Amino acid sequence: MDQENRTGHEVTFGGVALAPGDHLCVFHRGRTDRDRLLVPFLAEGLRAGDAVLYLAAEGERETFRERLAAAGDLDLTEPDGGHLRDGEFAPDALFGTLDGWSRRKLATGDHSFGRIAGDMSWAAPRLSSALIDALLAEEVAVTAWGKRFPQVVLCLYDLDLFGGDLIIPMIKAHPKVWMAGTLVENPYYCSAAEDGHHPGFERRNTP
Amino acid sequence: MTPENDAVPLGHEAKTDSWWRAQLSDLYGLFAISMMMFDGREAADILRLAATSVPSLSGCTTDAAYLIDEDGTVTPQDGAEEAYPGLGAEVGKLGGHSGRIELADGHWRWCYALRGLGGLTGNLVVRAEKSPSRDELFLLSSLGQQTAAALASSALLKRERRQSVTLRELNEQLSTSVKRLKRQTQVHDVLSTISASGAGEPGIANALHELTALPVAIEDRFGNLRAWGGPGRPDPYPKVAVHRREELLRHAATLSEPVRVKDRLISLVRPRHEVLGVLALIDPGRTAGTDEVFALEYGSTVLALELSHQRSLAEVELRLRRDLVDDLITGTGDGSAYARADAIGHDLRRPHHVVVLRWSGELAEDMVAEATARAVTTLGLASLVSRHSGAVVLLVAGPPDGAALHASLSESLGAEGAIGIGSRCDTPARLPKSYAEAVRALEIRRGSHTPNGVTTFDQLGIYRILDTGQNHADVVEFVREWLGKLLDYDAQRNAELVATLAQYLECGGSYGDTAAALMIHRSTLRYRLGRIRDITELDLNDVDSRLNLHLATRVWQVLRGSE
Repeated sequence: MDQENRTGHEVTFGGVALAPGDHLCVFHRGRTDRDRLLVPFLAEGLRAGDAVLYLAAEGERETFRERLAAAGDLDLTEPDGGHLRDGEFAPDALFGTLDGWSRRKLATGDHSFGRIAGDMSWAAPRLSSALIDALLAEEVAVTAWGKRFPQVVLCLYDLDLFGGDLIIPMIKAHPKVWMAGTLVENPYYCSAAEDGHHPGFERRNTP
Repeated sequence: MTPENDAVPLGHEAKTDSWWRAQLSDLYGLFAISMMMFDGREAADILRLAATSVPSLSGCTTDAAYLIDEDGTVTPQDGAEEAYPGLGAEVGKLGGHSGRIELADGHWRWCYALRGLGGLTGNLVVRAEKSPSRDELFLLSSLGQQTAAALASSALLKRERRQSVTLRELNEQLSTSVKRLKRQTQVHDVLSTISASGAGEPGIANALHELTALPVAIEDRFGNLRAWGGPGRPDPYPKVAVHRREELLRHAATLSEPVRVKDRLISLVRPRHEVLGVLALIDPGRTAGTDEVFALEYGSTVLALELSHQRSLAEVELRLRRDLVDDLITGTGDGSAYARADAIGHDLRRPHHVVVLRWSGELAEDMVAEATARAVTTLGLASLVSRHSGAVVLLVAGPPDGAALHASLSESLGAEGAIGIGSRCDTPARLPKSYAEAVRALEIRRGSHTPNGVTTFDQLGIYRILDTGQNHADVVEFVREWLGKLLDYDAQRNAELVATLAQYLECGGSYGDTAAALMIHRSTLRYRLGRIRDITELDLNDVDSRLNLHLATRVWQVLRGSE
């Protein structure tokens, strides 16, 4: 799908316009701060007829369904159906889910645009050097994969839960970072080609 | 010494684009962390962010982190306790400076002293298996500098917040004080205005009710209701026993603020040491707060002024009355006397009698005077009251009922006393004479066998001439000379020969009138007169004997105190 042909469709986050293929790392402080940014973003997409997928924090699915489902095509899942399988981080399964969703919603022509957001708080109690490395690889891969569809991907990290050991790698991995109320671009982000991270998703994504 | 001294020497190999990109990416991460440190978070959170960033920027790990507050207190952060033993002491030895730390495990350690504008704010100790590269050390130094700046900013922010809180609290206190002052000013204005308006006690009670929305009672010191403000006035007004009332007043007098007594909040009206009354808020719901208590206290001050004023007026009037009485009984011009009497509302143009009262010596003059004032009011006697030479002096308009006055005083004072009444005065000029007559009658009554009673000057009759005051002993001797034997006989036999003789002579020697007056049979009278002749050996038909006996019985009657 040629995302460059898509015009007249405004996508904003925190009042800032986003472009198709954007992959944002969003740092927020607590869930109230997250929802202040996230809910208008999702609601805007639903109102515009976008396909919306939210990988919610544990126990949040029904809350978001009640708040947003009536507005449009909303898919909701929690960590066990998103980033985790049997309680462990499963990037391959995650990419399978994401890629399948984008193909179903966007490649078939049902929707002209997609919005994906993932709450990353599930990682806080599992944090380790290995998980940080795995997350870094995942984020690098998502950046590359996200550009293949007319969509925007947000990864939401709670600063009350994570420290510098996760924050700095995530900043390195994202081309755009939302922090302290500002969207800043990172021209030196780690790309898949440079870092050599090629999760299974990349292989599946090959046409 | 700088950590660069320990750094792995720089190679001279060419840096690849990938290397530069990684370096710039690290710098960008450091920049982002720095931004987060300045987002208003707490000092401990800033240090946590720095400590957890160390592994992402270098091959080092954070060994320990310490926060140092404004007063120099060092607080080890999470994980510091698990650091190598003695690490804290080694950090202390650096004296607030950055420096290398050597411990027995051989690891490379460096303590970054986090110094900001306000001085030392913390220490960050990093550790590695071997010395980091200069690039890593550059990032760690930058991280330390950013952390120190963020901690200094946080301290400033904290101080500013603290000052803001203090300022807000002061503003709230000021606001509360202003509200209270406004309320107190209103209380002051309302009560001062009502006091100046002459509305008196009812006006004060109503104003206080308007200010507090509570019923108000003004009582005298004995518990009698003087005024009521608001609804629910009890009828009849309840009154506690005297001893309980006195106990309450004594207790309240020991306190500097109103005291709660059951459903009432009371304040003593006590301009000096004397309690003039009690001001009470009726508050069964116990809703009275600071404002109501202030209104009550200020109300009692205003009421004290009112009652003091009333007391002063009463005292002035009393003094004027006393001065007038004193002048009248010592002699003053009629014109002046009439004018002064008119000024205090007394009609001196009516005929007057001077009445002098002297009661048992154990009673205070004040009590007798007050009881006399109440008695003349009760008896409806228009009079002026004063005190003179230890006795109470009354100037009574119209004929005084001496017996009723004596009975009233005997009942209220519960003691014996004598009253002397002077003769009628048609002009003020005669009052000194009437006063002297009243004093004479009083003294004669007090010197008689029955000193408890009333004697009018008119009753003295011939005695007025016989007893001039200086010859009392001669008069008594005269009585003894003529009636001594009969008096002794009566005393020994419990007989009534002197009374029989006196009545016989008063009746002009008429057997019939005498027997009727004494309510005895004529034969009894005849027997008694026979005994009188035998005992006295006198002829009752002899003119001289008869005159002397008649005078003696008259004097005997006066001295006996008969009416």
